[in-house]
Amino acid sequence: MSDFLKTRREFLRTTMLGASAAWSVPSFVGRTFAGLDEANRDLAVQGVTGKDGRILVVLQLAGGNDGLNTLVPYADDGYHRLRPRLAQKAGSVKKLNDYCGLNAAMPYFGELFDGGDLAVVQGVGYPNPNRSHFVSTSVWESADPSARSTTGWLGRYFDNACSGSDPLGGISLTKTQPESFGAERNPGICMTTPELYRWLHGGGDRAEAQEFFAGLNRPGGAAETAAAGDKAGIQSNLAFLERVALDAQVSSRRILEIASKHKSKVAYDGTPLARSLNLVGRMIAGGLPTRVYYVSHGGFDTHNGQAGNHERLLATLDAALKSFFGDLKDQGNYERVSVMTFSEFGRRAGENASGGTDHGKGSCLFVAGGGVKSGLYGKAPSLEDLDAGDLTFTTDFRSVYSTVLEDWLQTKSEPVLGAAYPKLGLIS
Amino acid sequence: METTREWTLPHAAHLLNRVGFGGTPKEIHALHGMGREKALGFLMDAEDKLGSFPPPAWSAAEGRREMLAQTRGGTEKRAAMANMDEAAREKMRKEIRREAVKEQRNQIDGLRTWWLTRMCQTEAPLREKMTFFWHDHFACSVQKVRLSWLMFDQNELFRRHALGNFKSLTKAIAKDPAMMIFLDTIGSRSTKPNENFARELMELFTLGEGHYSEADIKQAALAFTGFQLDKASGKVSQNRGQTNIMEKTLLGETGKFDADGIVEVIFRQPRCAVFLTEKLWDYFAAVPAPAGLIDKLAEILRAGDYEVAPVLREMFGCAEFNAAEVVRTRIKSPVEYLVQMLRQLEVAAPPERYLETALKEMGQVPFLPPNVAGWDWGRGWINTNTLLARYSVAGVISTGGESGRNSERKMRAGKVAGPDFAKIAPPELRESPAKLVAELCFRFFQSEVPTKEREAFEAYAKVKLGASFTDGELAELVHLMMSTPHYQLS
Repeated sequence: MSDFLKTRREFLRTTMLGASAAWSVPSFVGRTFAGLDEANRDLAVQGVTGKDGRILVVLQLAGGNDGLNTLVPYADDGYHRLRPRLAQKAGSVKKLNDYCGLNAAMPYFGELFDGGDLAVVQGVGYPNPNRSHFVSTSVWESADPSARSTTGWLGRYFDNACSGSDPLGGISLTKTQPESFGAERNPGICMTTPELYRWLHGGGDRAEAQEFFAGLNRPGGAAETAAAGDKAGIQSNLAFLERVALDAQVSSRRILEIASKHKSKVAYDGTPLARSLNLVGRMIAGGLPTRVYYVSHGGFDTHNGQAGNHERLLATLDAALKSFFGDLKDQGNYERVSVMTFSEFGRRAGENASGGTDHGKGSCLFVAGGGVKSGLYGKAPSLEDLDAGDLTFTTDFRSVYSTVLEDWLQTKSEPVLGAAYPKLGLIS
Repeated sequence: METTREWTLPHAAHLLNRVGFGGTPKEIHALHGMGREKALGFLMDAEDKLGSFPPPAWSAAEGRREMLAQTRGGTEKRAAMANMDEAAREKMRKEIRREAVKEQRNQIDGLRTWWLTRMCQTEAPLREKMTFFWHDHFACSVQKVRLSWLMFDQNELFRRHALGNFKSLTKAIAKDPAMMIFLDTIGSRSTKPNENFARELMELFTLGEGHYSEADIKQAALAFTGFQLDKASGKVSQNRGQTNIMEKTLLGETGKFDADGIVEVIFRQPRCAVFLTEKLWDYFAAVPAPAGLIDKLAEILRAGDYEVAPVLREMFGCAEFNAAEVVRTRIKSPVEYLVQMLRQLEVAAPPERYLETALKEMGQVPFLPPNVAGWDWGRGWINTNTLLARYSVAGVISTGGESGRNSERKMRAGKVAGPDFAKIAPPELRESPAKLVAELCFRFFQSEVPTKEREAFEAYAKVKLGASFTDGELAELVHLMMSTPHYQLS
């Protein structure tokens, strides 16, 4: 065995020891895992071990979900007047009060509401709204209405509140990293399928190539360079790269292992959203220390022919969430998980000539799970007092974030959001 | 600011990496052989022969009106629609839209391949590198512009002005159709001016935040009104009735400024030269500038009335740019990463069908910048997913598509030309793992590789060395060498 391989094995062993103790590898130069554990104790928030600790699943409804046909103001004459073709009949909706109710395509959401586990937040938006999908998504993900922040609200949460710098603090099941994960230090990871989130080697002797790959992607080079008293510039960018390389390598191994071990007993649909939530369920079952998962459900840009299409999208969401929550209950993890939906904007109050709706402003969103208090939160936006055909928002989206951060993830929201926003009291 | 005197092979490689897209050992040696002065001149003054890169057929002026009509269905379909009921018409509309989107996508994919191929083959790499700089600086996305030929025209505008005059380019970009669509100059009227372009002009293009007031933006916006665009020809005209010709006051000056006049006022601000110089330094050097350097370089820019070439020449030649903390410390952008890799492996062009996937996964797709502020450079390129993506791109390119996901492999079957390993590593080199690794290290890293890495490469080579190295085994060694933090730097 070459010296190189020996070093590599030794490294693996110390990593494993570290993993069982804290599973955090913030700085590899001259620090021991015992020392790290000590350091973690001083932090405001303790790292979760994977078996306890609360989990947030952020569920993006991409394209701009039509809030008015999701949470239907069935008793409002204005609604039926504005939407002669698209309005949901009062008789079909699942009534939540004498004014509004849920689209009939969401029976499970109705059950959750009755069971006490669904918070519906009305009229969520932000000042000076932007109608571009791109810009408005940025606003939501960065929690910055000027959309210029280079970090995201979840990334800032990872940086501020997650102990150590475990790469697995946040996992996004998307091809590219969502802007909300943007962070100074700890951006979490993103991937689509565990089987592809790895170094792919084309030749023979895979295991051996893997060993070499792992050895080359562990810290060392930068430390050596530093020891040699060489170039400061190399040290920093190289050290940064080595850190990400280690994160990638380590998280890839963990995820692959867990995904291959845990299969859920609950049947999920074959839709992309259901598949994503299924994977999240497996990772939770496997005890990953992840605090935030991010999944996306697309297709909500219903400019034309909305009738039927929008219901199908909602039904997909409803069914996927039903399977996911069933799975979590089966695992005994239901009480630890909350799901929050969001969409970059709602749609215009009035329908358009193509039987659809155009980009609008305020919309509704949901927070669901065992720790949630059912109810309607915020004020329903008025259909009489429209702003150039748009609903005016009544609840700042950052209020939802601050509620989730403080009351669910139990961390201070100000360092993450830059200011204090009134909380909604939807966590029990 | 002193010019550097040292001139070693790594210096030559550094210049080629930063001023251009790197090159082969042979090219580095040739550049080194010229001597420092001549080498810099060679890179600064290089030009491609006219007609070396014939543009995509659809970009030709003649066909555009017809293409524009097609995006609305063309005469035939539109005539047919007149006799349809509403449902059938709606179906037809959807089909037209689908086809238009598909066509536009194909065109932009083609344009991207054309540009990256040009980066791989050009003899004037600085011009392409600066064309990219301007694309990032005046970032417009096809997502909003939609018409591919306008993106092509803008790309050619950047290329023409690449090493030219910053002020002239800014005047031109204010009337560039893609930009006018992207920042809503089209449709801006003197009665209701849209401030989008005026704001970004000062904030992102010329002065930077904190160097103008909201009132300056409002006044400037008045001048960018009344423009009309013929989408087919790309011709811009100004409707006098919709244009504000009144007196305006901004940045301490008062006059009846038109669009060009506003640009002149802004460029009289000394801050403007500093702003661009900082950005150029960041782009090429990518380390914090030593104290005083930016001011000295900015002075050259101002003295030359915003000619860019003199300031670049001075910058590339100065000791600070060639200092140890600059060399091999810059994180390659995904486009540079790919183009450098192709050039190092002597592969003539990027694999067309794989290109968009590769760039998307690595996080930089030309013509689709994330927003008007351009891409987030440096460490912004790197996260666990993009790093693994970079590694797998290296696998696909070095093995010619043999490594990688099954679906991608199928998709690219027969489409990816792998490197010619007989040329890169002739048989005699394959006999000694140490020699082979040393040669490849120079090809890919152009400098001393830390012991740990070199030993790992050699150990891997020894394990692989049976009777002799096959091309496939060499490809895997190359893939391994590129699957390292070090290879992300240049």
